[in-house]
Amino acid sequence: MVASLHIVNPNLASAFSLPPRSNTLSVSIHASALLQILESSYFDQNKNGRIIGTLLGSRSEETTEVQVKDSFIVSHTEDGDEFTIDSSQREFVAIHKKSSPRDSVVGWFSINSKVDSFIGLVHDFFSKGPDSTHPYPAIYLSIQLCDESGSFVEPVFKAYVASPVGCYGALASHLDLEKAGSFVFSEVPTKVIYSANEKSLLAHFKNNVVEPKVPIPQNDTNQLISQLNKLDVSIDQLIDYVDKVISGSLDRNDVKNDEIGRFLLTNLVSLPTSPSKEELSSSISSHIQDSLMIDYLASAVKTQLDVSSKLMNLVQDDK
Amino acid sequence: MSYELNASVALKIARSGAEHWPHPASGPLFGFPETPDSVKISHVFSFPTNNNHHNQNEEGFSFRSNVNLDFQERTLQELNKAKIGAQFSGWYLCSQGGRFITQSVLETMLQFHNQRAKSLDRQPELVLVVHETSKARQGLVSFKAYILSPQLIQTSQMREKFITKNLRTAELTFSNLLKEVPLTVRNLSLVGGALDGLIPDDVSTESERILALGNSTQGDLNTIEQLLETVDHFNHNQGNFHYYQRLLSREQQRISQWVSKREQENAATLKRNPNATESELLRTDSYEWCKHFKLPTEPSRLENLVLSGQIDAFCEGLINSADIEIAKSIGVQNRLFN
Repeated sequence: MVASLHIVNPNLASAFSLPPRSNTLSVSIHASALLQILESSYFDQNKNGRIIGTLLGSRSEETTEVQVKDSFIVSHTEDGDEFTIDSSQREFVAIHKKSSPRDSVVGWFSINSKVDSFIGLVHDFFSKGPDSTHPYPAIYLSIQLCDESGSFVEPVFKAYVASPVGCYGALASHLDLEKAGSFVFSEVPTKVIYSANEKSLLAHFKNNVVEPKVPIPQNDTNQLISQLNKLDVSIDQLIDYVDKVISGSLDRNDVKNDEIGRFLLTNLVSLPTSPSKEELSSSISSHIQDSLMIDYLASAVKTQLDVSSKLMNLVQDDK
Repeated sequence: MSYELNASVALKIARSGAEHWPHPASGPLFGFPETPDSVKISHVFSFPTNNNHHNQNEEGFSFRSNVNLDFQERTLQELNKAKIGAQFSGWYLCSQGGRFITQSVLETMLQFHNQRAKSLDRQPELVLVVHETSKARQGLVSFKAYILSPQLIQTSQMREKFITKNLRTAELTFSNLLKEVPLTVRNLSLVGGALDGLIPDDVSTESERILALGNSTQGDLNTIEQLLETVDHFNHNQGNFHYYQRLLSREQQRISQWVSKREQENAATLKRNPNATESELLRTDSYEWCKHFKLPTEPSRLENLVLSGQIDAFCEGLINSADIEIAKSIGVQNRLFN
């Protein structure tokens, strides 16, 4: 390879001479992985120095999306220009691969890190060698929890990919110019994703932000009630909107009003033709009858079970 | 006892359930005992066997498979090496209805309990965190934490273990095999702040699936299928026990015949010789008939308890979802037609 100044846009060609990519890389972080990083930072915040860790996840072959599914903190030591990554890194990667064999290392993260040559060195570590992202480019996720004065702010997270810059190759090493760890970082779009299962949980957390301990709802009926209350609020909003439209007092500059309007448009058009009132009434009644039947039969089975276990003990005890 | 999950742990359990649905998933939990009575769970891993779906007919079977025990041990070692210092605190199970109540789960929990009981310092009880994936898919938050009930531990330490007499003494029934304990999720101020940025405010139609009429039908159908199967097992088990009871009563009949025959002989001897000493009479006490007859041993009632517990939980689940359906339907009916 010819030694030359080498600056490549990482979005167009990957850092390791792979065929050029036409699509932009994007990063999706699972909410659980992100929360885990935040929690571990909270846990470690008394220690000095920076926190770095490994990101695990998967890449889709068709799209250029990288999913970050899991993370763990890696202990390291810094000594001037030298740094050492603890060997536990490899063990943890092996453990994660056991529980989810399809996942691999996709990159690394740092918390409250300032930009210096260290970042290049670590990025080099995660891009090459065993348990690295090779042959794919590594993702670097930077998370800022504090502003420059050291007080906490709303977390800011950004993902980057990097291309090496500077001389490398045989000639460079011959001329003693080779320098590992020089990169150009460019930001890639990032989003947080979660499954429907996680969503209800996240919403529950969000509703209880003020509590130091979030209770887990014990009762499904209570959850139904809270959902119904939410529905009530939405209906009120809708009625309010419709009233305003009728009276012509709608604020056309409010983006929220536009959203409601669009929502109504898409949902009302696609509604199937409604059944007649009688049909609806009879199908709802029969649904109630069915539910009552289930309720009754299940209670009957329970009672029978209770009686049987009491009788068993009595009969057996007599002997 | 009370347990607290880190927010990320709760999310990971939910995700694991979603990824492996409709198959069960399980894994070890690691955490820090705050006091002997409360544990903070900070790490969760998914068992390697969650990925082979074909041999997961029995829930929680995987707790004791060698692959998983090795995995659990190795993870713990690595956590300690990384100076995280978390301890093994229990398991999570993503399951449906009462399916998690199995003999295998209970026996594993007992086995670990006994191992830990041997160590000198008091360790917190191991917890079983159960997440119902089918409920989560309806938009409900469903996490429950269980520990072994004192009644079950007491019975397991008795001689002859799970026989009716012991069940009576310890007051162990199918409804108190496990004890539910309070479970909360730790709320970090930081995470709270982060959540605001993470979750969009929009009222999405997806999370309100619980409001849709008849949305639990699929889950209920599965439960009913499970219920029928479990009732069959239960009857089979009951049949075995009846067989034992018939055997027992036949033996008892033979013994009483034997005893009355001996008493008749004694009466005859006394008639002939009213001054006969006790040693001349035939003995009829239990010590004596034990030499001649052998009563069948009572089979363990544990399986019966487990099956009863499952049936009870299935029914409870059905009643619960039927109640929700009734509430919703009647609400709609009143509003639309009255």
